[in-house]
Amino acid sequence: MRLSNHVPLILLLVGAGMGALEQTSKIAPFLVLPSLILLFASLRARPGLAISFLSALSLASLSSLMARESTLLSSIFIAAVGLVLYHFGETMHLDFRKPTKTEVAIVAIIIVLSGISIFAFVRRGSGYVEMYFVSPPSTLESGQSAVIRVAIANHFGEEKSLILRAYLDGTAILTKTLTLGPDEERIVQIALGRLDPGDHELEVLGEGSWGSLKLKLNLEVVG
Amino acid sequence: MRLFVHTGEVFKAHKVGRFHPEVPERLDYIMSSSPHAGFTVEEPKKGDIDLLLLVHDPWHVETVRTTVLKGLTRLDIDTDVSRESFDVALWAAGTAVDAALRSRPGEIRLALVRPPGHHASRTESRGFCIFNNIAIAVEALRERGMSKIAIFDFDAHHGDGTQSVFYDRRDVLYVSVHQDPATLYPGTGFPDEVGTGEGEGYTINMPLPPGSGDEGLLTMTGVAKRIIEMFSPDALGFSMGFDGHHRDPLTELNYSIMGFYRVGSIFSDLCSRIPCFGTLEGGYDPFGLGKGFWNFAFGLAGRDAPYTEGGTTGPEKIEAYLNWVKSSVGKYWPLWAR
Repeated sequence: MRLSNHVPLILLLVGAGMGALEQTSKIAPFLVLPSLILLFASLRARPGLAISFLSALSLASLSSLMARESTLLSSIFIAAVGLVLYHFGETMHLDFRKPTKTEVAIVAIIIVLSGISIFAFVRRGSGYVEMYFVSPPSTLESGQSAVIRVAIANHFGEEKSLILRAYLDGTAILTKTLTLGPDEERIVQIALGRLDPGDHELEVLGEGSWGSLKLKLNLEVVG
Repeated sequence: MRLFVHTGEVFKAHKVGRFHPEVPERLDYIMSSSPHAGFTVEEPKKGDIDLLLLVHDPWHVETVRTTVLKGLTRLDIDTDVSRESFDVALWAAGTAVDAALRSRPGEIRLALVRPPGHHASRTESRGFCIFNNIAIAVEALRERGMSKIAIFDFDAHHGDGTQSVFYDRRDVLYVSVHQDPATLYPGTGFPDEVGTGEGEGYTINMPLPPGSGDEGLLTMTGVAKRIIEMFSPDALGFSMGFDGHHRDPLTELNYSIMGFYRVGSIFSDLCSRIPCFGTLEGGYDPFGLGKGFWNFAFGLAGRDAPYTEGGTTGPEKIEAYLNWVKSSVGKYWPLWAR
């Protein structure tokens, strides 16, 4: 039996299984189905039972991480790997023999590549920069000199830089470059000076290679 | 507006498996992220079985009680329990009811409880939920004489349990914005599920495609608010789910915490006129849940966002989803009439 005979069956299995599990459980689609499909396909490829299990587990972990980004991407990945393994497989007999060196090498490559990919996925989504006003006033007395404090925290596991800009009623009043170490939090003071009575708006922008943040504060200055 | 948060350590006693996402620490994610000021913490309140019976069948309540006490660890494939879970579920229902009954116009009361509730139907516990906290709170308000109550559910998963409880009722409007059920648990919540009998037109489902971002959330929330205003409820309850955040491990909606802030802001003026309360549903990422909750709460209270991150945008097909909703809901709620 060649690949062409099995393509519809495998695609149906992947699609129906993923669809059914997605609607019956919150957790199972990310754990059970990828493991089962990949184990099935690995067994077909006859690299030995234990080693099939290892490589399937490794690929399933990667697939479940991909599902966090896109279920479709994960399904395509499972289907693609399943098809390749199935295409090169020979029988459905469980194989308990000792794996050959080539088979060990192939599985080792699968595990290492999966490991690298998982690491890359985790690192990519593992941080963020946070910015907020610290105890901001909503009203000020006319003639009172106001200082607004903004906290910026780097929750990435590595150093991050940002350009901080502050605008009062649309006029730039501060531009500052900051570099924050891993998990470092810093407070920046923005001096507004004495404000005229009425409504004012303070806008603070933070921009860096990680993205951008914007804060707005409405201030009422009473006479 | 004043903001009250009803919560306590008691909710951590409901234990789940080691690798389960609905962990006791979820409440720590929120409370450790709390802004320094601007809200009041209220003690939780324990409910009793009579409260559960406002919504759930007696045999179901008894089955859950005995199952949990026997030390069995699971009510369905997703719903882990421990020996304390039944007791904690009583606290969750009681606290949700307490928040609802004490809510007043211009005063927001949000119940941070677990286990969550919106997947629990009259006869089933599922999807991490044991009893349906928001439905119980709504029934308690009805008992106190309120004639019309609306629920807005913005958890990424459709609240199939809540929908089923009120599916044939016209006194409770259930509006849900969630990820397309063709792509996510529980597989219900399509726009053509509009209610039945007297309740036809009083269930509104607004699915969003994966990757929708804040743009999708806010588009649907804007429509939801207009429908809720047309319904003119005596009170509004929120099923608060923060699992639509882009860092959440279970869904793909790609919201930011600014999206949650804007959802709160959209309803702020309504909450200055009628009592508003909320119960916690999903949200499994520490950042998305912790900061997302406070942004929503402060938005609802009409204040500045305590936390920020870049907003997210969605795919063009949001328009197609909006048209899908329009084709099912338009005949009941003439939002699009010229």
